Amino acid sequence: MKKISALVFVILFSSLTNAKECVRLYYDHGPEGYWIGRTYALFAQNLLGHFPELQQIIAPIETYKKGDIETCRATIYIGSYFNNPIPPDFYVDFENTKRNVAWLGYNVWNLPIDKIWGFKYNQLTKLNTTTLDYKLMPTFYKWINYKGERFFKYGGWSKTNPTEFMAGFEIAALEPANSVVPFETIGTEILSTATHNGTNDTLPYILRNKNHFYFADVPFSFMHEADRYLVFSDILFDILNLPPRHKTKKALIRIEDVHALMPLNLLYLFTNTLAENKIPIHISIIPFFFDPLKLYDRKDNQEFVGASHVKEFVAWINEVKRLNGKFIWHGVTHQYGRQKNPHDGVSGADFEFWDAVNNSAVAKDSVPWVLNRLYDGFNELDKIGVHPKIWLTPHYQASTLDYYLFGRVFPWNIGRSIYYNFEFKNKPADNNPEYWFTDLDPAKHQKRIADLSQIQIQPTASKWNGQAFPYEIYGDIHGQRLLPENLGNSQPFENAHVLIPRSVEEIVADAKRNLVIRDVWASFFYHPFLFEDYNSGGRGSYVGDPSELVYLVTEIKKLGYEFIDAEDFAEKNKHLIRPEPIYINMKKEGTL
Amino acid sequence: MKALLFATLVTFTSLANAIVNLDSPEVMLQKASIDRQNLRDVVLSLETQLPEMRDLRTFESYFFLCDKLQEKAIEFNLDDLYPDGVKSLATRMAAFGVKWVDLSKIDQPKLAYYLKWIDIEGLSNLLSYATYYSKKITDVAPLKYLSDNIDFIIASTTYLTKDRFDVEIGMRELSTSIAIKFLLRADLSDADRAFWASKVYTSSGLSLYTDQVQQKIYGLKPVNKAEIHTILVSLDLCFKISDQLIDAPTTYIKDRISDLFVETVKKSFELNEELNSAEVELIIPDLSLRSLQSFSMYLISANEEQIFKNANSFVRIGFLLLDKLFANNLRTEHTQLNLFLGRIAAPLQIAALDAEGTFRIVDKKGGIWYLTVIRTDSLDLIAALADENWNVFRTFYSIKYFPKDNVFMAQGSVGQQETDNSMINFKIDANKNIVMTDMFGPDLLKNVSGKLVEQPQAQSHAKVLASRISAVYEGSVAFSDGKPAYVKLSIEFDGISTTARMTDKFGIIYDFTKGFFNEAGEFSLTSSRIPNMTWVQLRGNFNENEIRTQVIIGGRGFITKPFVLKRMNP
Repeated sequence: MKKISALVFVILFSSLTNAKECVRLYYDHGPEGYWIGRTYALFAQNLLGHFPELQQIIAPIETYKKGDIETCRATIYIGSYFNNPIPPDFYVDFENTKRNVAWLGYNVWNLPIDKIWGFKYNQLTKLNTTTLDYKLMPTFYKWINYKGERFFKYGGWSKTNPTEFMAGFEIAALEPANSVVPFETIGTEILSTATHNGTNDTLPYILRNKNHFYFADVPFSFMHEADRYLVFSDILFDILNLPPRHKTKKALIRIEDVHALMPLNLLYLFTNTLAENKIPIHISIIPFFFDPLKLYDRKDNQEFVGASHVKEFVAWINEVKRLNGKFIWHGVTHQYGRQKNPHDGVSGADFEFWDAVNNSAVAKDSVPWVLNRLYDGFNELDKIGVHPKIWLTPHYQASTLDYYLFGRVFPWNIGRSIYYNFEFKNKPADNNPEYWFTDLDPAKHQKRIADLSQIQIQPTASKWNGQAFPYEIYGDIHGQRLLPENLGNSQPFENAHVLIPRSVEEIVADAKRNLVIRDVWASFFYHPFLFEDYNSGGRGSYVGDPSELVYLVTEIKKLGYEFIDAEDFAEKNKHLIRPEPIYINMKKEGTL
Repeated sequence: MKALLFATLVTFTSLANAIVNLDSPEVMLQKASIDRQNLRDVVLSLETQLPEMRDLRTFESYFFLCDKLQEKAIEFNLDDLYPDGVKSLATRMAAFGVKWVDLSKIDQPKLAYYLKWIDIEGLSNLLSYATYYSKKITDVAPLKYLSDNIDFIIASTTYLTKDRFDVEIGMRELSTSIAIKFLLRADLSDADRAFWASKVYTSSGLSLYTDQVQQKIYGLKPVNKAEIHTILVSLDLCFKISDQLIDAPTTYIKDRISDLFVETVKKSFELNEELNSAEVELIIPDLSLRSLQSFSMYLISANEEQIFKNANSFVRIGFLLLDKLFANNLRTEHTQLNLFLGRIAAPLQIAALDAEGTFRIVDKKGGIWYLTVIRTDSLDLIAALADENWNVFRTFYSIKYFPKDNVFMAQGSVGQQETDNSMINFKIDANKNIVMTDMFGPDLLKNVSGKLVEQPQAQSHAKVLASRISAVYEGSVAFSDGKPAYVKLSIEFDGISTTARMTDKFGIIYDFTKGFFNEAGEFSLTSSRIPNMTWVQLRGNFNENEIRTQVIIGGRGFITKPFVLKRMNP
């Protein structure tokens, strides 16, 4: 009997110790057809991927059951649907819990906020179309002040409808509930304020009273490199009550869109410049160059060129290896078929896993198509002794299925990502190293195809949204482990590829601002053609002028960031991944 | 020494083979058959090494792998990575290899293989090389072979040239330029002429040819007038060529050929070179509207003597043209030409048949009839029908000829007698046999036949000046009653019309209201209708100071033997 009791105790203890601590994430399911609530939730869920020690439980707020808050170390509610009928138990539990809880956006007015934070709800702020800013744009509570830095919300005219002003201008305007008893006296802190860029009025943006957090809006609309979304990503550490993962701020630069026909002088200049500045080299390599429409300056017999077939390029690859440079696998051809998709059909310019013309998955999209294509790419890279550990989706955009596959067949991905709401069935485990591209074993490849072909994924909303990450993610909703790219790239000119030009000064400024964000990276990329002179579309004062790149890496270093070897990082963390999220659904299993 | 030479050759051969850094075609194919990655590698290796393929044999040994590689591409879904990868390679190889393609030698199956893969740029290059080769060849056979291959290429590559018509034009220009060189030769056989004509596709080429034909037309003289017939063949060829031109609307080209045809016909009339039926019928249907109009105007206004001298051609051409005018709705021209032809065709045909004179016709009861058919001038014909007692029952002043049915229709002048509306038709064959029908008469005279029994006799000719026609002639004549009479013939010619009167001692014998003569001295003087009788004609020849003549009575024929009247004027 004693023995049996001891065994039961051991099992029970073991079960408790192995049980992950959890975090609950609630969103407004809303009525049929309302999709953005779930999308906001998946953005938050992706950020939670930075904390692999936590089990994510994702649920519509409508499914809340009394006491659920108490089962996890933290709970976040995203209020995006105005006056959504939230179960009363949630209000009660939210108010009374000692667990960390955060409320984002709408419906806060149904809480006793005076009691919780010492504030009262006034109104939702509006767009001010009479007081314009210096660019003659409408004004709103644009500036978000946090830890001495000023983040800001995006605001701009729609590209497709010039009369529509695109901005997340609404925030809940709160004011102290009691002038006699200041909110400080009940322990409330204003972690962040919002300042109107027309009137300079200021409102509380983020409140905290011990375990209760409030965000005056949902910080996921119109995300960009200096957005208040980053503030949320920092405060998430407090909500979860977890320390930063890293002692230092990491920086990462990659040389983008490198293929076998790229001018070698620029490539050598790039690697030499980084080496001289002791910056780890990362090459985003495209195994096959393809120019079906002959729009690239090339020879007739160079329509489709494998990296291994250009010996001068292979020599440069060997030089990169000698410099301990690392390779990031950047698509197979980085273009699709024999068509413009949408620019010119040339490798490096067009989308590969996304039909940008029709804004849909590519016609051939399927598990065998993707995996066999990747196998071809791996085969070619293998010929030049390149075996990347990190995948970079061309133009960051692919179908949900493709992202799912990238999440399974590569230990790490890098960059931003596009997200649809979707349903799935038969999802394999997120982290099965058997599926990774590490060798050319055909049997292993066939098994990879057979196993992964069981997944069934179906988008449930026609609109997609992109997300950039301030820090690494140990599993987004697609199961991808993502190294961040949060600073973009130098894009000097507006053109078909560049909607919003971006300077290196902006990159450095963003990197400086981001220093207040815990675990933040300074990750960016640079195109070799920028070494051309201005007249040729580059940033050099002369052809081969690397001064902009030197400025960029120097300034980033000065800010205290430490350039790292991404492959080392990936290798060290190749088995760390967040637990498979638990989804509680309104309707059926598998709806995210 | 020998050993050293051998060693050198071996080394050289090895070096030559080593230029292309590829496995043998067999090994390449084996590799490509393994999987998609190996296939892709083979394709890319071939692409990379393509510029290093320095000779035809090496090139084709790899080029001819493309069919097999394409099969493998389908099997391995190469399109999923490299869409149309093999096609792309093969297209580049085809474009690369065309420099070795000699269209005067390459067999069509091999050519078809190149064409299977070639793109428009390769095709354009092939054209350039073909042009280059064609200039070096002088023999007919290889050039014919080359031209046939060009046709084969054109037919096989329409899917490419539909958007790049300039390349097809280039092909056709090359074919045309070769063909024209031969067509301009005089020593061409009919078969060769037809062959090269079938290879002329451009208006500029045809222009060169028609220029030459035009020069030949302008160079026609009595001594070389027989060339008219070859010219007509050439013009017919031009029409045929104009139907196969691809670079211009054919209207103006056909106009030009039509004009040349009209010029040729004019020349044939001028030079009295008769055109045969086949020649004329070959070309008339191709004439342009403009030429139909101008041609009809030319015929209507043609010189009478020319018409008469080219009677056969003139009538045939005229009536062919008439049908064409009608078919083309050129009603005004049709009406005018119809009236004109109606007038001249009958005498022209009679002249052509040499059938002037009196026909003896037997009716269905064995009765004898006499039909006299006589020209009053080169373009007018009259007739009269009498019984065996020479009672004249019908006189015909309006006779038309319808060549289509080879039939003459004769009717009296309206309003002169109750039989004016009488009408006969008759056909005369080459042996001067006649078949006649009195269309409104009794059955007795339907489809009755006879034979020409009496003709004006050929006379010696002499140049006659118009100024010497007006004169008085006298002499003896024996009429059919056998009694000689001394007659006087007074002829008046005012430059436009001729009148004459024959008298004897008793007074007027005949008044002649219509006269005709020509430079050869032939003349005729014809009476108007003699009341209740028929007409009479004095037919003969002028000589220096006399006329030699006979008297012909409608329905009766000659009533005199030839007799001579002496010119009485100085």
